[in-house]
Amino acid sequence: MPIPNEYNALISLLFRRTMEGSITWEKIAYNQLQTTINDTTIRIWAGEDDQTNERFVAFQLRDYPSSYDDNTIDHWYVEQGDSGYAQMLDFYDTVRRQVSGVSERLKSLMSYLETVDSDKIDSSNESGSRNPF
Amino acid sequence: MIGVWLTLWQVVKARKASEATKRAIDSTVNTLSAINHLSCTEQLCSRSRDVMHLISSRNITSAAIAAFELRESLAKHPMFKTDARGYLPEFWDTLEKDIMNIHEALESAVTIKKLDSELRESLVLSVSSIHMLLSELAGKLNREVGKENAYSK
Repeated sequence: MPIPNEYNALISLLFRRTMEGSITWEKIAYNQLQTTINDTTIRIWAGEDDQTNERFVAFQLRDYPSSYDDNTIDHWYVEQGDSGYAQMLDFYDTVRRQVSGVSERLKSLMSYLETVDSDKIDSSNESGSRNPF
Repeated sequence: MIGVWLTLWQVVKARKASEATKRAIDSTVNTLSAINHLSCTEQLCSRSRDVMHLISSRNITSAAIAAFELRESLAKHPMFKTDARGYLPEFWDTLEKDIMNIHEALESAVTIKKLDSELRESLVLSVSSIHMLLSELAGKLNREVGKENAYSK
């Protein structure tokens, strides 16, 4: 199933706003990521179907605030091989990195590595494994 | 004078009998409470076992329903969010959150009729951890019921 037509523009805009950092996502249960904009919660997750082994990215629109009733407004998914899969996977990975704070972690590492003396880098670990190179 | 002493002796005797009755009632109430707690906890164990089996057998729709029922039974548990028997409210909060996360993940999988294989493994591990916690609680309550019965004999 490709990305539904009425979602193409929204996905592109969400992607752009996420890259700019103007939309903040959070990790909820397990591999699910979500953001809430006004009265709508957007949830995305990705994985490999347990039955078919097809990789997929799923998208869900939900009412906010949630209630005990089913608050899903709409949902769809794209599978590997569908048009839009690469775009959705890229989007999911971008969100996942934002949620995990990958960018800040890399900046911190780079800043440390650029400023510290080479003989002071503490790369040891408890197991005593050595870099073979 | 003998009449006064007799009356006093009867009062003391009646008071001791009343205290013994109160102790017996307290012990019975404690035993009944422990039996009720144990029965409700065994029900939770049974539901968590169902959830685990249904996820393992890839029956996600039934697993989502069973997870909801587990969540519902937890909310109705007489010890839920109390500090009864040394279990702090935080214990119940964590349990509730974990079960809610499992339920939500399963519901999302049901909407697209797809369950990620890694997620399935994580869910099985999470539910089995919850099942073990509940089983430990059931074991503790079982011992308490035994103890209460021994005291009441």
